[in-house]
Amino acid sequence: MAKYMVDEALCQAHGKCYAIASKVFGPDSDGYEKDAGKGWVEIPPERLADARAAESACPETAIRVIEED
Amino acid sequence: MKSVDYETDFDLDAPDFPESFDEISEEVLEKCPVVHSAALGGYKVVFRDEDIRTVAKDWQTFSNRFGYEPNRNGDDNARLFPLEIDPPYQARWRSVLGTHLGARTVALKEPSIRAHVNDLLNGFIEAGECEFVEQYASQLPGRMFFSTFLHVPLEDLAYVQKATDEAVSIPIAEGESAEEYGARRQAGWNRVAEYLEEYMRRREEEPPRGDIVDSILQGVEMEDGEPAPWKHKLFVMLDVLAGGMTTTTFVLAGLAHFLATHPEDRERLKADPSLHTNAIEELLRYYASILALGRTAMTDTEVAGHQVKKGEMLMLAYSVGCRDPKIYENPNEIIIDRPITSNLAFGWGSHRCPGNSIARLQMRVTLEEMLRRIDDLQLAEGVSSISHSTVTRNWDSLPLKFTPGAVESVDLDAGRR
Repeated sequence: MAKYMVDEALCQAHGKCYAIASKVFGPDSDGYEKDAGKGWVEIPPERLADARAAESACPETAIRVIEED
Repeated sequence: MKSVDYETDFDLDAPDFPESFDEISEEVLEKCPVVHSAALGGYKVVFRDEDIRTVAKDWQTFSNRFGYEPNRNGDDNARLFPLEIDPPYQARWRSVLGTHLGARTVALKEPSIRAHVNDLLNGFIEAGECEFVEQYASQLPGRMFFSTFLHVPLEDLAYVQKATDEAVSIPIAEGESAEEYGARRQAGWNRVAEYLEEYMRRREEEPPRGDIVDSILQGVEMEDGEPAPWKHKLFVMLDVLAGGMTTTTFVLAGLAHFLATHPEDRERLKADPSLHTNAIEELLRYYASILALGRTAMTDTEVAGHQVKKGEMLMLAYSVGCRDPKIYENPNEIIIDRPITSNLAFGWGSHRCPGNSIARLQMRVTLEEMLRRIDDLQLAEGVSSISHSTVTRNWDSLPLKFTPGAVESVDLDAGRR
């Protein structure tokens, strides 16, 4: 299973993640990632590559994606 | 340091590094991306933006749990968490901090920050001169931590400030051995820890306020499922304090130095506030306050073609990486509207500075209020000096002069919840 976490202290609402992977990430009302600070969120297997691309694109390294057995 | 071979004998604490920072950074970035130092028991330094990001992101190969600088002596009374631990335990503490240090939460503190900014400016505005580090840049971060976040009396600030300086920012003395220097820094940490421990014990007895201290006291689970011990909670408080003091002092002094030396940019910023956000990113890059922070290699590996042995410490020179010409044209110039795509000044990866929003906010409010209240700012007679202390760049003094202004009324309880 793959999952991601967004570090609330780092997210600055750049919006790169939901521009790249809109099916995984999304904005809240202020443009911050909606799940920032909410712990680990599951990623559907077919979205893993998108999530990885968003992780690399974040200018604040706020996103961590991990894969577990 | 001019006569030595950087490749084999680089010293982060060399006395001429601060004054020749631009030239030395330029040379190592071009010629030796990884250098070895014999100082402080031996370490390597990584300089280039790309290499720093690669190492910083790979916490499995480059661990933080053996300390953030070469001469951490393993004394377990005052460590820094989550800086000196690795994921997944580290990530749990980061979540706790994130709740209180995220950009939106921090924005609620703006009225309090603005009140302290204006109170500090009141302290010297009528005189038309100041020693900016002593009277402003070293004061504001402490007020943030103690007054805005912890609501503890400002009278205690001087004591903790001094102990923190001894732990972090006071350079190695001439003739002092690595062991003596390490012990002196540790003694500073122990004094800060003692103070914070007393405060936390007191808070434990009081009804909760829902602030960062309560969340830290509540704690997290360790990897084995056991609750984090008391000591770890203290180490988190220490890190929150230490991470925000000297580092922010340096960038605030940098901001004032910039305003005093770039009158044309000052006029542009005054005329067009939409330039402020980018200008602050550029100032954070140029006046990056973390000289370097360390990782320990967990296995024999390679960085930028250089062999690294298991157990070796790699110091990631963020402040130098911020001057990488591959990323920034004319990196030693301040260009307030240059694009800063991703600012390395706050580090990279899972240990990137969780207090970045507080630093950015202190910078923004300081810029706004200085532009509003202080005219004709210039460097004054006297010594403006920078020193290094392995991990931080420190502004020791910055005498400034300007047209005297009027004191304004300030409500220091502004924005308290």
